[in-house]
Amino acid sequence: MSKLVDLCKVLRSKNAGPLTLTIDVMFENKDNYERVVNSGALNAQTVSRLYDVDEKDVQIIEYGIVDTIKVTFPRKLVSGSVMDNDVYGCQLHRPIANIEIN
Amino acid sequence: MRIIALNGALGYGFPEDSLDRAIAKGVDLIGADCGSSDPGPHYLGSGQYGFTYEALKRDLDVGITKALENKVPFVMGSAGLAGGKPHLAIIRDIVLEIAEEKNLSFKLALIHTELDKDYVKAKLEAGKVIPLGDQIELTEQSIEDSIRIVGQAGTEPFIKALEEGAEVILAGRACDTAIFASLPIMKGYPTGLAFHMAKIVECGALCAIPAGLDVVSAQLEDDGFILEPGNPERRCTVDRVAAHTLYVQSKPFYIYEPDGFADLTESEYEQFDDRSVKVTKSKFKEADTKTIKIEGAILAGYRSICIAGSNEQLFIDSLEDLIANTKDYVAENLHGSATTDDYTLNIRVYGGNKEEADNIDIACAKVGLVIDVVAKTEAIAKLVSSTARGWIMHFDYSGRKSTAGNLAFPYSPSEHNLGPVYEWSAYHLIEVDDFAETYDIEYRTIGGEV
Repeated sequence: MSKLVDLCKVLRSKNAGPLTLTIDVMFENKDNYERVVNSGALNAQTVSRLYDVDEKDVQIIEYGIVDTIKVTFPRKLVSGSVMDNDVYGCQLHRPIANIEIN
Repeated sequence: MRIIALNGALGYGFPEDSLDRAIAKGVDLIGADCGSSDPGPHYLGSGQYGFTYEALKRDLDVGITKALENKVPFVMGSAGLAGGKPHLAIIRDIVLEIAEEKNLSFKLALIHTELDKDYVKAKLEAGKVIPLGDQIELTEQSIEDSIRIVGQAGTEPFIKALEEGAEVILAGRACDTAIFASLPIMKGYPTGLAFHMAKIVECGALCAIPAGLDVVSAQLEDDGFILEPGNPERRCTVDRVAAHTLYVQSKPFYIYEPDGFADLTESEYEQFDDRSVKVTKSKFKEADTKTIKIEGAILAGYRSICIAGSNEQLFIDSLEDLIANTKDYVAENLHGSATTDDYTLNIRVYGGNKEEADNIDIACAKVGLVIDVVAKTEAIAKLVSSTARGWIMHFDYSGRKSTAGNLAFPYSPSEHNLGPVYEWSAYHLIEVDDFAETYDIEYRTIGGEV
């Protein structure tokens, strides 16, 4: 078992507009990319639990051309709203970092 | 045709040498994106512009001067970050100042994209508003209460201004892509390639290694476009360019535009030479319905904050309870000057979190607090934050030995009024029959001899 963060070279989050968060998980090589994709561990159900969003709203998009998995879902707090902690959304990647990959 | 983008955001600066090197290989348009929704709703709500006057002037000066020297248009979108009326006005004034100082002559086009509230209300009434999420509901009241609403212009007004011979085009809120894709589309270049090119260059040299706020150019060929950074120390690589295509996009294969979407599912990337990448096979699919993305901002209240720290582990251990009882204490001690409906009290804790404790050396544990209040008036915000501050400062938690006070304040005064706070009130699509409903173009002749 390895943690997701130890298998990827980039793990970044950012707004895609104020309502949407998008996380890019980029891998150094096809092996790690395919290992994570095939493990099925980075899935909508897990993301839904970690970020407290509806599973149906979570998109996991495989972008094999650059060995990247994109995770996109609605922000729970709209960027810049009174209770928001992270206007740009660039420190919201951590919850998925420790997902265990077979 | 060659399109040159100054940098990722006007006001960040760029090496002039990079621009000169890019221009030396040919130029048909110099463009710059000035906007983003990333920094939040403050700018649209307050009417303040992003960056500084001096930084914007420096970038505009170089960009416009070089464009005029080379007799090619200078195109800028999303003035002053948010692209509303006051934002476009300040950029216009900066450009007029530059023109006067340098004795420049040119035809100026100002593309206004702030929308009339009645227009947006009519769209809502007609069922022509499409939400992009369920977090913000657009209502007649929220439109009325919005301080301003802007529409992200597509290519149409830029193409019109170019056709009218405008040499400097300054736009309010606009799609990043429209700045760079309009001229190629006007000249008959394939729309899918034009938008894909524009989506990459609007961030400047972020698609290069090393990535940076710097100049990038795109050479448009019949079957694709070739990206090359202006700065010889940077190079574009297939990985970097393909990866950049997915940056801050919710989906990597589609770029949504007012009149359709670019389909990148079959796009191909090849290393053209050591420093440049060629992109081919990006397509465009026209949409049945034309849409414009709108952004609105609304006043949420007035903010007062207090920043403080603690070095006491016992205090940190008691924080969860302390935060809960601070909220109760404040609510009970406002003595009729405000009710809990009048404010939001949010105590933000930085560090010291027990769940993260494995990363913290307990011997030097530190925690930072931001007592954050947003209230319907500035006076209530200050009252609530100072009441909460006093309570936390002197709270007698279990086992307390540092009885002189619980908080280290870095600033005097300890409370700071941050003024009005805005929230997004709209981030929706509206269906339009004719894009001309959503913009006005104002032309001006600047200087003596045009």
